[in-house]
Amino acid sequence: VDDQESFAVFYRAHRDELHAAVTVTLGDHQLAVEAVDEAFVRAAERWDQVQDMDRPAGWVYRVAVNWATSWRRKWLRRPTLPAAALDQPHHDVLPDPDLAEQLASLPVGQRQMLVLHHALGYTVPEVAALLGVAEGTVKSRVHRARLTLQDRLGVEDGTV
Amino acid sequence: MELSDRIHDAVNRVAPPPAGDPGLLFLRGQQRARQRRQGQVATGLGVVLAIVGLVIVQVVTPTMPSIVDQPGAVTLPLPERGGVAAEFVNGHPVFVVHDDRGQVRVLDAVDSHEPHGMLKVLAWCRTSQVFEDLWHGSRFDSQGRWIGGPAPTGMAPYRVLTVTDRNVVVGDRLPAPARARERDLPSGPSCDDRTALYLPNHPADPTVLDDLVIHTPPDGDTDLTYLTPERILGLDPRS
Repeated sequence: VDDQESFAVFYRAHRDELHAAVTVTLGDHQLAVEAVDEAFVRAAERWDQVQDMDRPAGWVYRVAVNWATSWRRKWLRRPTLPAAALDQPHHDVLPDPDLAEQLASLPVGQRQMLVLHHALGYTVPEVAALLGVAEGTVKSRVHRARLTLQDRLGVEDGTV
Repeated sequence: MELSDRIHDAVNRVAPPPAGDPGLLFLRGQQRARQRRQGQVATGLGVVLAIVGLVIVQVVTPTMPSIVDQPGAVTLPLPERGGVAAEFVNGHPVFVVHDDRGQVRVLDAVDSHEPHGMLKVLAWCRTSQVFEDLWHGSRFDSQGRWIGGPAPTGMAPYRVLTVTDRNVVVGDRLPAPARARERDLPSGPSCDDRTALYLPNHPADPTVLDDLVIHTPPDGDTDLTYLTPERILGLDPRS
């Protein structure tokens, strides 16, 4: 029961934030709902380990994005369905359609790093640890993604 | 607005999804964990059973009473495919035949033709691919079937119990088959008409020995004709 309660506290504290972050990452509101719920189920499956992590919300975010990416890939491979139709994100529910469109053009790894760093407030070492890559890799990919988006969106420069 | 602010702002303005039920998600997760554990137990059991099976096959089986341990069962080395080897089963000369198709036969090397109660040991001629009685000219094909000469039967086979990559395990000697259809072959000693090596006072071509597979006696005397049963047993270097 204690585990169930601690899980519920964690869920209520992070669910909306994670849903928003995954929505911006994927550009798909409904897929983000399913992905985040699936990631929370997986967290509950091994809650004794996840709750001891430094950043359990980051773990759920990563699992959600990976699950959704994998799900999309499988559906895009279905020969009997129009892949282009399935690939259409629901831009209409996103608060910033232009940003969503340009984010969607980036590799999913770069999107993840941008959202973790800028939206969820993780430091570069935390993002690196969460995604299992070197800090230098995070820095260079975030930098590259920012240059791309700044160029396409015409926004101001900033620092990572 | 800076890019980082714009991303942050976009995330903050995403409409929250309908409220979920963490209790339900937690129970679903716990259910999956139970299924995963059960699957791991089943997999573990499968691995244990597989290991036990392997141990039985690798270790226990050879110690169990088996055909290999049958009284009289003998393990002989297996020649290469297409080869014939002269071996002994309990001191008795035999030929192990491993034909081109992988079939293995073990045949009694003692000729069924026993003039005056004396015995002769057959030879395998590599060039003609027949077993020959180099004294009286009886011949047998690679399966031991009689194809000519005075021998009353074919070559007696031994029961083949097990064949591995390296060995053949043989059991008891089986009755010799009756004569098969006779072929038109020249009579008399011959390994492709080159020898009467064992015929006294007859010109011999010593190179024929290169084409023969015979049970060479320990004393080096290659005359395998008219042997007593004791002399037959004495052919085996281990006897």
